Amino acid sequence: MATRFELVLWGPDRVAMQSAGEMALREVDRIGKRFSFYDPASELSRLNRQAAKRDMVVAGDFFELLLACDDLHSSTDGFFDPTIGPLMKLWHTSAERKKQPTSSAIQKALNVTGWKHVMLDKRNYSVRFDKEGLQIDLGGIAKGWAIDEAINILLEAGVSHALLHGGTSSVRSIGVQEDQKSWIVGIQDPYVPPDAAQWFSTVSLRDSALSVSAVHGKSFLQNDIEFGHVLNPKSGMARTGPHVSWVTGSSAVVCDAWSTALLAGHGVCSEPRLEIACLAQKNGTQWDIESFKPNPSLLSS
Amino acid sequence: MFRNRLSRRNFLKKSSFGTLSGVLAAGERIPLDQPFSSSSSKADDVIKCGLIGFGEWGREIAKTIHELEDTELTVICDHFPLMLRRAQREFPQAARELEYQKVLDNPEIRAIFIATPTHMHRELVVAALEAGKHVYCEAPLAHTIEDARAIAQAAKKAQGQIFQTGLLYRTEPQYRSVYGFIRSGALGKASMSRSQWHYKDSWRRASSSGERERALNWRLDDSISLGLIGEVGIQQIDTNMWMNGTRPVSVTGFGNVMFWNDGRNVADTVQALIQFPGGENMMFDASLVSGFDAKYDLYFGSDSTIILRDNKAWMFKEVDAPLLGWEVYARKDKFYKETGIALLANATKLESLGQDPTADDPNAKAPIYHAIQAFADNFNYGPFEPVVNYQVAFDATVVAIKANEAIRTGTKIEFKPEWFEI
Repeated sequence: MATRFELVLWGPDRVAMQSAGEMALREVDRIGKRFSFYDPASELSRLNRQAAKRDMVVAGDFFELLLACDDLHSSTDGFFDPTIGPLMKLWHTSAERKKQPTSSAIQKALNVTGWKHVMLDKRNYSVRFDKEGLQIDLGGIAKGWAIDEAINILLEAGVSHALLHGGTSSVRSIGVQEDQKSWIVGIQDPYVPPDAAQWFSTVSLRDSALSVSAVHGKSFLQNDIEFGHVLNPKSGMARTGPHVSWVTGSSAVVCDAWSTALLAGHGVCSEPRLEIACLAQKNGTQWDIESFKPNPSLLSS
Repeated sequence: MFRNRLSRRNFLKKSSFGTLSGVLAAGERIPLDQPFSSSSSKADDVIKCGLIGFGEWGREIAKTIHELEDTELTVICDHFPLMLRRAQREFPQAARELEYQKVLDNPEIRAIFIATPTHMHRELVVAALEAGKHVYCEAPLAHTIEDARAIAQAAKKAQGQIFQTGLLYRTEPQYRSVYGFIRSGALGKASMSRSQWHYKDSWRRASSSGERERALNWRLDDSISLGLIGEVGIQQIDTNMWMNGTRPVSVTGFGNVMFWNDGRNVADTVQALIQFPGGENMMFDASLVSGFDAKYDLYFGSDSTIILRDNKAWMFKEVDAPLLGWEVYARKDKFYKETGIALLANATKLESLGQDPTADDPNAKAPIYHAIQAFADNFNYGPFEPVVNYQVAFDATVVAIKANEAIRTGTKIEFKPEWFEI
């Protein structure tokens, strides 16, 4: 998944913790290989190559992941869309040139995107694209999926205290820390050098997940406007900075999709599987944070 | 049980298989998006398969059976309910069984894949063959020569049934391609080989159930485990035996627990020197302590050295080696101060099809894919002797068992011909 996963485990048996951690990270690696957009030999690449030509039967858990995409596409009103690969590619090229793409280029890319073109047949676990050139890129959700799967393995192995993150943007915890306190994760100001470690907010995790998305990172400036890598699947435009979003909930997959959707332009959040959803904008040196509490009953103590 | 009759689907496929089998035999890369295809959806055209053992490797086998067009993952068997729950989620179309006998009693199941711990193979293989099934058994065959021989004898007796073992590189296209190079003298005078397998991992498995955890950690129990050389090194040892075309004459081994001091007595780092009759000895080392440089095989000779890693290979020529015509046009890669000539199978054909032979192979498959494809091809187009038949598997297992013994005792063991008799 071209990102770093780190795991903290706490338990009385160091040997058992070590082996449980290895099993979890092996699963992360396995998922990364299966659902890689860039590896031509991955299960996802195989689907992308052939699903416009014929029905493709996929493994049950792959189908489950695609159903999750379908569900999240719907619940985010289309602001989470894993078919925006051509748009991503276009904006990536633009970032290298530091110049936003033309409207005709955006329209051309939009013509080969849209989750509505992905047909899922639950009877036989098959997938079909009704549009030639469509491609699914699970980059916005695979990290969360891998984290959820790894957490399940840790739970099966008897682990009761753990924190796992992927690329520092997707996090999930099991239980609490050794001292019975919740895991505290800081949301860093992306416009401050990392070594300054300046947090403008913190999140408390207890058997819950966190996902953070930011405009900054893979962005470029044009006419003093910062264009990021999070895209609005409807307009094809990149979200402009300085914005950060973060959400917490019980599932890393749901959090991943929603932090992206919130930043991509959804603007409000009433998703019942989330406990907190925040959208922050930087004004000068201050961050203005708009906070939603879609389901307060889920809030960590 | 007799082989599959040539169905309409297979008849249609066979017309293109003649060409393709030539391609595979030469270890060539298959051009992009030219899979076998058929308009038939007749259920009896596919091989209904039962998989016994749904651990980490069993999942890979299941994925491959599911992916291949010629095979259907009909039932998954594991005696641990958690594994069956996982199986249900990943392969919901497959039935699930806790008891293997029910799988063997199912007349619809034609082939059994066995991916259990090594010490459980004998009972399962013998029962499956006696039930008339075609069998694919993971390597090594067994943890004792007695058990391995019983399996080989059962396979020998089961005329008309396929018995193939999971020694993966004899069916892997790049290895088959290099096999052709080596056997045609590309090394000059072959002098020696060196293989390594490095992976940073405790080799230990965790479970919330103590009983399950003990079962999962069979590799760390020296009464049933063949250690690193037997459980993983057997693949590279077999490759070496294949390339050399002969069995070794002796093995000297060393091994220690260098890092994972958790009470285990199975070495986490091993070395072995395996002597061959012509003196082209093999040096092998495996370690769970360092992952550096992962896995590769090196074959040295007076004209060149060939390295194989993953699904790629390079040749490094000596300055006094004769010029090979094709090498002028071949891709060359730098390795520190050496220049490797990339051994790309099927490069000319790919170029003529407008594909870049130097790009990553979009059809690259794991070795297990090719192994199971070979098994399926044998079912559909055979009968022919599997390239990894019972004798090949038995030979490699005997060498692995004795190599592990040499490592545990720190001694040199000379192979006796009668050990290899079935």
